[in-house]
Amino acid sequence: MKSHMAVQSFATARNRKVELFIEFILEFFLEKLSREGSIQSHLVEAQKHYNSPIASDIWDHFVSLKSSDGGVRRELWCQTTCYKGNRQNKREPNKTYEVRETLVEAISLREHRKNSEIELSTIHFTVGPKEYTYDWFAPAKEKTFDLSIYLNTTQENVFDAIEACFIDAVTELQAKQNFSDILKQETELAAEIRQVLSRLHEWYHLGCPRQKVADEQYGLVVNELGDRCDEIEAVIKRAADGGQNIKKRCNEVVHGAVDEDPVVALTVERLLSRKPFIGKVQTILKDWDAFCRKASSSILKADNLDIAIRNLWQAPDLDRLIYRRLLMRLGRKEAANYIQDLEIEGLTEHNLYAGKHSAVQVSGVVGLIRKEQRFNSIDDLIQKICSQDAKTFLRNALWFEARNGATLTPSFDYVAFSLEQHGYEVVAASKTELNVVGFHDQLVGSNANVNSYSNLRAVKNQDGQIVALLKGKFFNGPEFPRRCKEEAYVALTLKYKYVDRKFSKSLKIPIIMFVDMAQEYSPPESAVRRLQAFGWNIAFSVEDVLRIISND
Amino acid sequence: MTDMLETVREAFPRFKSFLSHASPFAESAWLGPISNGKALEMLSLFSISEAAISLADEFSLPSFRNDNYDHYYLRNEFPNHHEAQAGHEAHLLSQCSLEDRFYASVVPKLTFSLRGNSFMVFREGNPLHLLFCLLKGKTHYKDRPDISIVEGEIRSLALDGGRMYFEHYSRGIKACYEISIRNSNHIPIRDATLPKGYTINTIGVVECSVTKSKKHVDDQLHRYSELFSNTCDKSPEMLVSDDFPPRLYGSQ
Repeated sequence: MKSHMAVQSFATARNRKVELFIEFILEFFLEKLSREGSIQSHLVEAQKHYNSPIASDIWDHFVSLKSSDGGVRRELWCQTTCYKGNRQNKREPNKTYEVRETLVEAISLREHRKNSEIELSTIHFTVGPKEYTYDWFAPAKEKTFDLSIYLNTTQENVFDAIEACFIDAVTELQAKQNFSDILKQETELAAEIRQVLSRLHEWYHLGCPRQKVADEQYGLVVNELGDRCDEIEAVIKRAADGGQNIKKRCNEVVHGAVDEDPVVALTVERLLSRKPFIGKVQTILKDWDAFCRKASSSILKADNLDIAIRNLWQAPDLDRLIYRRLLMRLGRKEAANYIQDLEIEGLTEHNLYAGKHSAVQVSGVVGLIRKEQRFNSIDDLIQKICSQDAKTFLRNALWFEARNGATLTPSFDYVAFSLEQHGYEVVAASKTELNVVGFHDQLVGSNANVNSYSNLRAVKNQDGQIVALLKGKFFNGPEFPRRCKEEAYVALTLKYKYVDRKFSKSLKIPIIMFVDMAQEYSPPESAVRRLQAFGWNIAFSVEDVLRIISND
Repeated sequence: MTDMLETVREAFPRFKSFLSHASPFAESAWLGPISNGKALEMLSLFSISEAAISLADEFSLPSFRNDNYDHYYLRNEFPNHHEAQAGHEAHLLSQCSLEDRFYASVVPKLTFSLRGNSFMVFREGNPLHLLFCLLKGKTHYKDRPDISIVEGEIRSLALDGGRMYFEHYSRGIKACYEISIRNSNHIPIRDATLPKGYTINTIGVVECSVTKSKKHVDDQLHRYSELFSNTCDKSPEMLVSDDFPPRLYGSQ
């Protein structure tokens, strides 16, 4: 059965081509500088690893060049982001993580500038509609990279235009030759490339101006590293001892195990109340025949296939959680699209399976399912809903959804329950007097909106005083550095404010990240250091949280 | 490491450099369950290599970057970025660098010559054949024979500035390949020169199986026969038998 993962597969294939496209632009730009005698030598490398005490990042392109005027050596570090866009021009909230990572990479690279004799600049390329992500990103990025470049076409999809250059191109050099040929034509893509080349050329001859606000943001990181040096290194040592693996323990309880820690049981109770699908699917899997009888009887009541699908989609609360998942996935031969790309107004990943949909939305969904011709008749629908494939899908969904999902936060719930047992109150930070909007709100001015961070909690002591901000999540091994990168931006932007073009500390209480991880796992040092260098206090256990709160 | 490994060391002293120290790659081959087939595959590789050496006029065992003998255990497969995985974390966290993986992907596990003709033994992949197919506009196949023996030899293998360069000499014809070192879902062939008459002659494929059904194995071998059938008009200088265990013959 095809999954949403295929969307990422398309993105990977597309990004590879765009990466080569940007490489062509950079090489063309450098060759022009070389021809006009502005530079003596140049080199372009793809996927350059930048490694430092607070970073281990891959940059899409790295350029080193030597100017003719005085032989100054300069490095250009470039990142590219693709925005695929959608026909409704909806913003894609999932891009926020990627956006934060990009900003953190750019801030971290300033360390290299500080330590290097070589002149250094950062460039960000956006390919596709920049409106695809939240409107604060473009101005925040412009304050974090030395140069930001946007490339998009409006008459033709920019990615289709790039893709066309790969037809019949087996090698990278053949694809680059095709780009070069395009540049001689009068197409929209050619005009865009010429504009980007002109922008790069102009910027170079202006002396590659530095973005001072980016330097200042890195200065905040330097402050943190300086002020908390001993603490940061001690936490790195402690990280080697592994974590509590709360997430796994909760999962085992969901699947029938018993945990000796009563807070784990409380956490699982919360988890099941937030995910009624889990309880429902467990019941169904225990008596699959009963489910099939009920589903068949419900389907047979309909006069035709459209009505049968409609009835299943609008089934009572718990039943619909099952039917909707099956209707969206069964019999699918092609990759499942992102929900927001289905072009049904108001349908989101948050309300797809449980929400009450309007008649128009239900018609939209039924129309979509019918259009895909995954169910041919009422009998076929019954057969598929009651098939072994359906049962396997639900079993896999149980396994997956008990572990994943934005509403599923066992690690966070566990630490919050534990603190409550120690006499603290843990409440949503957005419901307190604290301002939990990042400094990028001030950085971008009135041109863009920045929402407050929604998944932080405030810890109050018995006097009702807020003593810390708290977040908790499971960090799995393969994604540990990436998680640290995306979270780093949150603490930095909360801990400092940007007023009258100056950064200053805005939050005096600790911002604690409860890092739940496998018991035997030792995370990469640079990732743990980065999380702290950007302002977080890290806890690997409830005892650690209590120690940080009591400033012990 | 294990009794089995000790026995293998004694049976194949020529390969002791690759068997002499503990590493995650070696452990994966020798400490895993027999049913995963890796140990059988390695033993078959050693056996076939010994058989080839006994026939050969000359032979050479592989050398790897920084003399890292662990890389003998790496497949002759180009690194592939899993499409459904965003970012580069997987290879950043890997114990083996992307450069090393690309390098090891084309280093034969054995090179030997017989009556003036060179041959290479690859494990878990036939990298030159795959490159040749892609450059001829064929689709990217995923089949990886456990062991394949291919005519010719690789020369001038070098890494520089994010690129890997090498030449393949086969039947007196030289082909040049340049590969970009990229974490990619596609083999990043930067450039290649394939002269007229150049082809890849696969003279034998060995598949080791411990748990597959006969039908599965028959289908797989049939697929290999189709995929690796040679287009050259002159028969090769050596043959691999379909006996069990497979034997090598110099042609008469």
